[in-house]
Amino acid sequence: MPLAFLTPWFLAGLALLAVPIAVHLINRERKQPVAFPSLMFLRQVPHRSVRRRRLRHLALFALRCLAIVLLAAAFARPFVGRAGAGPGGGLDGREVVILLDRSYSMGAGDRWVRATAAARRVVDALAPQDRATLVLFDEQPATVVQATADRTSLGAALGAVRVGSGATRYDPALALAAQVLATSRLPRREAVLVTDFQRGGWRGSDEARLPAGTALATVDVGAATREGAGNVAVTGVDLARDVQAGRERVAPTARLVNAGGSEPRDVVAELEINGRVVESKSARVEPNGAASVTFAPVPVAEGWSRGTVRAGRDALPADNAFHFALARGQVVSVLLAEGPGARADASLFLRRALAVGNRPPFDVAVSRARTLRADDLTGRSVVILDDAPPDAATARLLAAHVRSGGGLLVVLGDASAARAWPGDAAQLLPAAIGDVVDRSPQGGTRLAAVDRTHPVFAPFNAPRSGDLAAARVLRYRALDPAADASVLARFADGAPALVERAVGRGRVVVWASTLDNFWSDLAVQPVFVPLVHQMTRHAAGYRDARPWLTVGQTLGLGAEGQAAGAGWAVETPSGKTIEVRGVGGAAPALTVSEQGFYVARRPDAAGAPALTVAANLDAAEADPARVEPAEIVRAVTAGGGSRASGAAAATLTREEQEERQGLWWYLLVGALTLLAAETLLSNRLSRAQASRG
Amino acid sequence: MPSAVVTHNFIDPAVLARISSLELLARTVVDGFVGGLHRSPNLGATTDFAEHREYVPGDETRHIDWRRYARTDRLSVKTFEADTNTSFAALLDVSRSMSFASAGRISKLDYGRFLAASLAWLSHRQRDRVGLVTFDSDVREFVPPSTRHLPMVLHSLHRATAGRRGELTAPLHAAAEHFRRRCILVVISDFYAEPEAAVDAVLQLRNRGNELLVLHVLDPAELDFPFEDAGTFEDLESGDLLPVVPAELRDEYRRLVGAHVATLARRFGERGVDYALFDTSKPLDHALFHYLARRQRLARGR
Repeated sequence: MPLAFLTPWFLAGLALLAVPIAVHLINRERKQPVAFPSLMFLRQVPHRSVRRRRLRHLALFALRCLAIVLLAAAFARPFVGRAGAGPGGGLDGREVVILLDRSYSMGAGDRWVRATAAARRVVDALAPQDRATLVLFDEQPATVVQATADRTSLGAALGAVRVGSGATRYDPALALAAQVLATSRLPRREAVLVTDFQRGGWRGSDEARLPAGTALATVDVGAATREGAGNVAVTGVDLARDVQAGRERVAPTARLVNAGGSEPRDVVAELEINGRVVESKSARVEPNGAASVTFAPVPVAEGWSRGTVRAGRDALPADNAFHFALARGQVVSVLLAEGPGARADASLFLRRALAVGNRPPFDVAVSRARTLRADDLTGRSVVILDDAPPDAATARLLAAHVRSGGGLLVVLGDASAARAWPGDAAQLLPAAIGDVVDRSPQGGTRLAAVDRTHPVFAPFNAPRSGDLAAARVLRYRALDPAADASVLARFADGAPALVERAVGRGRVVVWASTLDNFWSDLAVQPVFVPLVHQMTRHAAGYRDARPWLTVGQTLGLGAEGQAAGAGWAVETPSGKTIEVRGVGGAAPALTVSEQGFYVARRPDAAGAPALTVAANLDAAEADPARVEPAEIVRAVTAGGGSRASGAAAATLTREEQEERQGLWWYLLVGALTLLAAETLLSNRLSRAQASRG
Repeated sequence: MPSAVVTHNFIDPAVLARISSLELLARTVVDGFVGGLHRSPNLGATTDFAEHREYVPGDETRHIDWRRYARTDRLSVKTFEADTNTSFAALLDVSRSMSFASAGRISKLDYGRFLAASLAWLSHRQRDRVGLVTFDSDVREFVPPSTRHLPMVLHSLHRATAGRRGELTAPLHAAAEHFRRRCILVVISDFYAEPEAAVDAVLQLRNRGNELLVLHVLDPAELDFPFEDAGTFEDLESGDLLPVVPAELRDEYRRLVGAHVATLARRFGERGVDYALFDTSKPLDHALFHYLARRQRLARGR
């Protein structure tokens, strides 16, 4: 029964014995060095002059040394080795979990073939008393075959599995293996990890730790196919929209990455719209570098268009294409109404601010008429009344426009007195308009309280993202908010500055001052343009449409303007049709799992336009950087085992023996007792020394 | 020479350190010092009569000695010593070791700063040209001697800080190149170097016949080594650490420092260089006497 240590490297703590030795050799030695101009003469003094003193207070010294020895031994977790005490008794079976990576990087070269072959070999090597579980994993693990000794079913499952479109995540898969192994009663536990060991998939979290005594075997299918040419991938597309001659256009810019490799790659990037190549461009991508390719703007057609950028040909073709879906409506159409008597440059600042936006672009039309026609409002996302109270007929049109989902942004000013607003228009507003409040004698007021959780002000929430209080407002109109209105911002004197109210499917937003440089200097502040953009976007109810999703992401179909309840028929990129329904009253949600285009239709609404959703691979998976298998083995087995550790599995493991004996506890108590005795003794000696001194 | 000094006029350097203006400090020291002298220190001033010579047309009539004319019936004029043709420069060591100060004392750098300021003021008062060199391992600042450079010298002294390792040979060699006319050079340093090397370094300044005065500044703690507690001593310049039990090496240390000082004094003396040791508790006036004695010798030799 030899004495052993579970963590013997803690015995290095015995080096701390030098501390009490030093303490006892140098009495009253200063902790801080004494600064001295030069050690020139001190160095010349013969060594005998600086020798240490002899050991003093041997009992104290012994206590301190013994305490350190016990502490080091406790941390080293000693135990007495005993053979033949195992929970499995006479059983000799193995519990094996096969973790097979099916992320899309496994599709490179012959990795998948070799991976499945390796898994088959593990299955073939199973003894009759062994059991195995087959787990496929990418971002999430999926148990394909529960723990079984049936090698036939395991082999059949291996014959049916295919490479997926997900990215590698080792931790959830190892955590699942840990659960399976922890509940096993078989004495020998093993996990077999078959993968290409991509660095991007390894996090090393605690949940990935396998139970004590488990052996982790690794099959590396990535090492042999490490291509020197690197992997070119299209990792994203930026879509810059604009309006040219009334037509909505989009200019795609693709980002190409050459991960790994040592040579630059000359590639041809092709832009496909609805399956037709519309432009090709050449690009050179440096090794471990990126390049961007900007294509000429293409008009956005009616309905949904499918766009794809393809670039490069290499061993991993899946990431050489990037898909996106295009539809009209990503331009905010603005009707800017000025008062009939307004100066020519009345809305100059507003127009200029809206002209610089491209995310989304604002298509601005200006009207100087007091009376708007229904045609004027057709297709408009938002109407801005810039100190321009409407007449009664226009107010009714505006009310209908807002209720049907349009937006109305009202900017007050000199001409916006309460009496100028007809009854219909006044009811539409979220606040009753009052008199002009002149704060110029006090040097103006400032925006003091804003609701930074509101979409209008959320972009200003980050540090150094604009000082809204920088603007000085000299005059504004008092506002008395309606009961159902929300005050989004207030001036320093507490008066409402920005008020909104939802009306029907649209909303009305009122800004209490002007948006020029007469009543305030907001227009010349850096926050002006983003604030105008935010107010206009919000009033218009604009939401960024997602031109693509990444595999694994979920799209709420109900949120796309369709009523919840009825199911959706979704055609997947592989040609299957699946039905998606909301669960528990929630809106239906589509989780994309394949690369390509999904088409979602509502069977109950014939004639309703189909929704096209592009799905792309996780760009992180394109990075061929590798993690060493030994690193994962060390992390998940805590140094306790690799495949060779199976020999110890028939008996209690070292960890289990140490845990049961718990010798460290007694050693720790002993060390603490010695330290307490040391404190008492050293106090007594100090007092005795002080009394002698 | 120091025995002739009126000692009650001396001011403790630690008291002087409370004067923030270096110019005021220098003036305080020099005025107190001059007040204690039995004769004027203005040795080269225009009041010093040199000799009579025959009057020649063109001579100033105010210089004619009319009494001599009454006695001899011959026109003679008095000649005087020149106003000044002496340059003074202080070479102040600003290496890190000079920043050392024991409890209750001013640092060696401050003491050297006060010394240099007082000597510069005294020289300026005698219409000498004054200059300054500060150095550590290199020449840090050089103010060439001039009758108008006293403010510059005082300003440079005021902002001098000790921050780098020190050396004597290279910076003093470089400094020697700067002086174009004969000077009285006062080297102020703690001379942490082998005596032979220190003497050789200082003698580099002797080109062009410069007069040298060496003021060796040490803190009393460097001479007496009064430390009691065992501990680690850190070399201010190199940062080296050395465990030391002071009580066991104090005597040996004192003996080594004493031998070092004695060797320096002997070697400098052999080479005709005035050497004086000052600890930072000594009044500054002592240094002024040393300087004045040297300047008198220079005046006589001219």
